Amino acid sequence: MNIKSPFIIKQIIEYRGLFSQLVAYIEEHDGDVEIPVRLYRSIVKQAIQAESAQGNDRECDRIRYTLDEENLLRERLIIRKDPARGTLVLAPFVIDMLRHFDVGRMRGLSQAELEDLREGLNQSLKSFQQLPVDLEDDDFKDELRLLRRRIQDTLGKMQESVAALEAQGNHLSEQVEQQDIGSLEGAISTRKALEHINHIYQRYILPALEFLDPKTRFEKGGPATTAIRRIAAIAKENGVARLDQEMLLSANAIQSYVKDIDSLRLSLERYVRQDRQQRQQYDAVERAFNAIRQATEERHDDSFRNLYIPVRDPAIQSPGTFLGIKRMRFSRLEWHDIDHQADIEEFTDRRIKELREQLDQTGSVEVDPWRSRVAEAEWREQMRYEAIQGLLQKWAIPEDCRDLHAALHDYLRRGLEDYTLNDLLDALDWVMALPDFQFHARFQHREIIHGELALSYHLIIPREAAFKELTA
Amino acid sequence: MTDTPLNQTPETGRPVVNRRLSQEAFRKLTAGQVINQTNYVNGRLVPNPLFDELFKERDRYYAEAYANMGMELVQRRGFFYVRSLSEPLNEDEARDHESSGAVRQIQGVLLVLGRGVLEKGFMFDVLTLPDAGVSKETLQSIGSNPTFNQILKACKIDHPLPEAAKVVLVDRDIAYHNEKGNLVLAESGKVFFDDLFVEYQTNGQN
Repeated sequence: MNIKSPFIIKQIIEYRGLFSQLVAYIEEHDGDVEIPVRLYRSIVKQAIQAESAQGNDRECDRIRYTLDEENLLRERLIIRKDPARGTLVLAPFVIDMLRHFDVGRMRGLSQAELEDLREGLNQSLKSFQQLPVDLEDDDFKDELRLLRRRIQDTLGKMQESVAALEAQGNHLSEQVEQQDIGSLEGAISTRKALEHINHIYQRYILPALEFLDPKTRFEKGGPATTAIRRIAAIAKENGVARLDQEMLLSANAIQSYVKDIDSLRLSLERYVRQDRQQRQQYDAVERAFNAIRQATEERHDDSFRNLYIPVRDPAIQSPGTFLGIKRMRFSRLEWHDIDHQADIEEFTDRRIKELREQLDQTGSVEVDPWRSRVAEAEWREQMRYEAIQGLLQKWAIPEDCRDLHAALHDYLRRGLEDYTLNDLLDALDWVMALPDFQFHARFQHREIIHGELALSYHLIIPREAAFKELTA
Repeated sequence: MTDTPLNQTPETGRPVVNRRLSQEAFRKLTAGQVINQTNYVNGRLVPNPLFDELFKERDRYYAEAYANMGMELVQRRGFFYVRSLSEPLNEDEARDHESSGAVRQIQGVLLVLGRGVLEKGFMFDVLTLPDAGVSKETLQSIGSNPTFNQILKACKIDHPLPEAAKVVLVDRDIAYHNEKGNLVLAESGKVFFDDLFVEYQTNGQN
């Protein structure tokens, strides 16, 4: 049975979803147009099965006859069939048609394809430069026809390329955005998608921009649009205004794709700029973030009252860069607010009470010798502070004081029993901590020797004395 | 990641301590701040004298001095901080430790910030380059994400992200504002993310 090509094509279009497998096969095999016969037959079988599942036997027969290989061969939709190798080659326009239906599988124009288009247009320019511009001349007409075919080809392929790249870019970027990078599968597929985006960017977007840029320098010939514009100039010089205008419009139409491709470039660049290291950084942050998000969700009750993530949660403890950091709290020693006498009395009263209670309970009092020693040392220290504090409260800084250390040393030596240089240091701390005490430090080294010890110090002059010194 | 500090040639002899720097470092560290290796001054990074002082006499003086006061002087790559040497003794102290939770706040803000910046499509370097940084508008935009807000709340932070970054990071010297007013991570902030990246690589990427 001989069925004509329009019906065959109609049938192929009807089952275009299945026939797109042919395009996928060609793409996977780097553009090899020889398709295994068994692949073609399996597609036809799938179409028949789809109809048979609905009990449509008549339709099954129709598909069987229409899509028969011999029928396609007769109608020149299959241009070659090799029974020995089990392959067939479909007419190019059928493959192009299937590609058109499956925009997701369409590829952009590779550098080699773009180079081919550019070379063709440069070839046309060369011919136009050599031939006389005569619309009646057969050679000129052949060249013009070829040029128009090349321009049409370029425009069609550019349009197809933009649509294909846009579809792939959108698909891949969606894949990247929607993946859960915190999971292994998500991270792997995201990485693959990003690598694919990078491939598209390098292999298709950048060469297309180079192809469309009139400033690009090529080893041989000029940019495609420049070649067309030069042909337009030749037409203008020879008074063929219609051809001049046609060529200029064509050049502009090709040039206009630069906008579409550039906007694709901008959309994809975000993903492309992420190299392997940056992607790893992204994944690492994502994983830690997911951990803290999970810890948050486990405690979520809209108010978070007393439902904070515990500090010991792994989401907080890892990586542990600031582990244990906190503001240290110190109970400040306020020298001037302490009444040491009252402290000692309070301590003594409390201790006596404790000892009395112990005596009432056990009949005897045991004093821990270590504690007793410590308490005694503390008590002595307190008594000493109290004595120093008492003396200093009666002391005023002499108006002509030019050495605070020496002045204090003299005063304490006279007033304090068993005076040592350690007492001088305590007294100095006390004076220096006075709220309104101001002083000048001088880079002048002095020494005080007392008993077996020597104190080496830099001169401190109280502010009042220095003031007088300056104004004197 | 370990607490092992950078190699420092052991020196013998008496320590030479600058009392002014030592006191300033103590005040900052005990106030819960970190001391970075560099400071951002007039648009550029300059060596931090407090870091140099601690680093210079760390082994001969500071490590022991802080230990005597019940603190551990922790040196990480590029910064110092202190933590308490003693474990909480009783429930009250444990609660106090829990309620301070500075590490939780720092971790929460840094992760929200890092994730938000990457999500906005910036490269990670924007957070660490002194001339770049994250603008207040970007911080506000990141902070408008409800998930991020929930995380901040669960980390006991009631401020919106720009203020949280100021209180939790800038006030602790983990980040600073550059001349453009953008937020940039100091060494300590950078080290947090470096630790994350190293941990990700060493613990396997799965």
